[in-house]
Amino acid sequence: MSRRGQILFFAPAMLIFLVFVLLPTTQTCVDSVIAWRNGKPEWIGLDLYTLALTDPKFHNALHNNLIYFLWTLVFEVMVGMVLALGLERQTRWNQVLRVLFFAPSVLSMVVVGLVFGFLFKDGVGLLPGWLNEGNALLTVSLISGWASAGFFMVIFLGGLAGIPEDVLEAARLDGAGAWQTFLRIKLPLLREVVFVGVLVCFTGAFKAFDLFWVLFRNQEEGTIVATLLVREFFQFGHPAYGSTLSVILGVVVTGGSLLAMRLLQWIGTRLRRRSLPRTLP
Amino acid sequence: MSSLNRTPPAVRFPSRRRLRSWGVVASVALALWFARDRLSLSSARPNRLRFVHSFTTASEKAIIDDAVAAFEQSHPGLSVDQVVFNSETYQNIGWRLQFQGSRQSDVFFTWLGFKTRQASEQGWSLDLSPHLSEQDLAQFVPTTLGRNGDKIDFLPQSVDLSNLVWYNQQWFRTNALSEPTSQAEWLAHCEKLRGPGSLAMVQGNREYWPMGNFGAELMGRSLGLARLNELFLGRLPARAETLAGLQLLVDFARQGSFDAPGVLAPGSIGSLSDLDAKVLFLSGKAAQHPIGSWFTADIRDARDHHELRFDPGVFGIPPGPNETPARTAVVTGYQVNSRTRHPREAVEFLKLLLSRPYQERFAALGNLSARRDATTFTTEPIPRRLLQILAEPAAMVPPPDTGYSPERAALFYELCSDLLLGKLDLTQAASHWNRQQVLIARKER
Repeated sequence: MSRRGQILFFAPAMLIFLVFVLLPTTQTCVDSVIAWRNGKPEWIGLDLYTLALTDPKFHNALHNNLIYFLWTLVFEVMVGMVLALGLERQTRWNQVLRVLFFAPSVLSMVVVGLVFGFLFKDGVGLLPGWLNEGNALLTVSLISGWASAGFFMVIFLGGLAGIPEDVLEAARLDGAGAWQTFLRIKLPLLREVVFVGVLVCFTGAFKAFDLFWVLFRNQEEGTIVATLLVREFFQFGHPAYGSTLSVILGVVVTGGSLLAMRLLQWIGTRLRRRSLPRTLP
Repeated sequence: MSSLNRTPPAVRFPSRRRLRSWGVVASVALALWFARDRLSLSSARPNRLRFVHSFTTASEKAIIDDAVAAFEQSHPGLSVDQVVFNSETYQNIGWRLQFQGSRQSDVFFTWLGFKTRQASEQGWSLDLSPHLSEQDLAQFVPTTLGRNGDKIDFLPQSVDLSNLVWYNQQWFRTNALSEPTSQAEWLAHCEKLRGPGSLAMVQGNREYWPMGNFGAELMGRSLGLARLNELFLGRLPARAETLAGLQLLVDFARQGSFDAPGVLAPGSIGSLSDLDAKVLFLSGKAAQHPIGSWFTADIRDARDHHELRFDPGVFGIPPGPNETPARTAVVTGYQVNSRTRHPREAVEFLKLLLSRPYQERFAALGNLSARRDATTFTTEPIPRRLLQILAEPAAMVPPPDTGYSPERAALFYELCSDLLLGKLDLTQAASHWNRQQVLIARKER
């Protein structure tokens, strides 16, 4: 393809990226260091960043995000993996179950939130008290797991399908049990898929909004950074502080993703080394 | 010489590939040109008035629909588009967002206080005085008009009492109780009404504002309006004594007035919404329900649908010891967007909506009209009782979410909720308030 052709193909994507990502991101960064007073912009520097670092509400929201991520790692990624391993064999019954487990992931989180919110409501719900303080994050993670474990199951099923049958056959002939096969063969070979799963879970946990907004709205025990910044920006009329929290959230997610990738690569390398057959000294 | 012998440069024809590239570019440009109307952002149509409000009950919507129909009939070629928001969504976000984008509102519902002040500061509200005569203005109680210097930018629809206690008259009669005249008596009533399977009072404070407004009235009574203003503006540091007015919330929490064995578990007040509480009261599951005067419309709807099986009564929050009388009330009404293309027509629409025939119908639903002739509107017992409560001499305390900055209001509401759920005592509440004031002041600086 000619240079001009390449540019032609590239231009629409670049335009969309520019208008919907780059410009708003730049504007958010600018808004976080500028305050508008009487219609005039005024440079405030990193004042709001230092405020965020001392704001207990922000600390609480970030802490809630982190806890939510850890729980969803269990209820989405690990449960997804267990489901994938359980339904790996191509039987008719397993195919039905796969569809059933995947079905909730096509639902809107707002709908999921409304339904579960009613289920857990005190006084009128079937399981009252589950959303009260203390249980809030665990419950919302369970709901999230119910809705998303099927999605991770599909990812892991795709990974499992890519493992060569002869490798598994060789393991069986060597007398490896199911647990050993999983730990020594499947998990190392699924390394990249697990990386992707954990990354999707991590970014999902930090950009979560809808479920928390519907279920908790103003409650501090269910406040995460995304809901806090929306409240600051729109409800409290602090666009500069809302923008500051957005920038911090962006940095946390990007930095956390990079860190998670490094960590998972390191774990993957260790797993691969352990799973390699010992040959001659 | 050599230049004469040079052969002229060959004419370079564009290659076929280049022609094809330009052809593609030209086709895309043409396609965009022809589709420009579909691709362009929608904008307000010139022959329409966008009317944004949050009247969601069937009875209120019927009145507005009739006013819109009458206006359209008298203004051929001009129609009114209603944009109806859920009240809470509108109050929190919707009212601010309507001033952005190419399809802005022309006429919008609002609350007199912080929001009207902000609308005039931001230049969102139109000065209505050029379109209003002295006679027009004389129809309303003067204090309910929104004034910005010598301009008038707000016309009042109603005065809402934020805190009333609605009760089931049959339950009161069965327990030989009358309307309480003091907070101590009220607490005793609640104790008597509470029992296994019997809920003394129901409230849905999930969104904090119902009991937050309740708390504001208690604070207005104990501190007085001037000191309450100082507190909300961050100029008066809080101490346990400053918040003593909120002791009633602590007493409610201690007594379990909002829960009952077998009906609602302790703390349920924090997870129920105001709608849940309304439904529980109207379906006869609780003896009392504290909420504002707008509840009259719900009672009417329930009656019309034959869903109400008891006679509700209403009283104001009874006075506590050493308190000055105060009532939490909010004036609701309308503003016109300064960017409207139809300023004259917008004001004419408001004049029609605020005229006696429509206001009489609103009054029948329990709306306390801001018109001077409101007392002659109705003979129904509940609206008349509300007018009687409104007429009692008392300072008018604005509900925090309409009178003060949204964040300070939200903080106060949170505080009331924490007291009610027994999470904080008055001393802890005071120090939490002071700590948060410092952070808010930094954001507002």
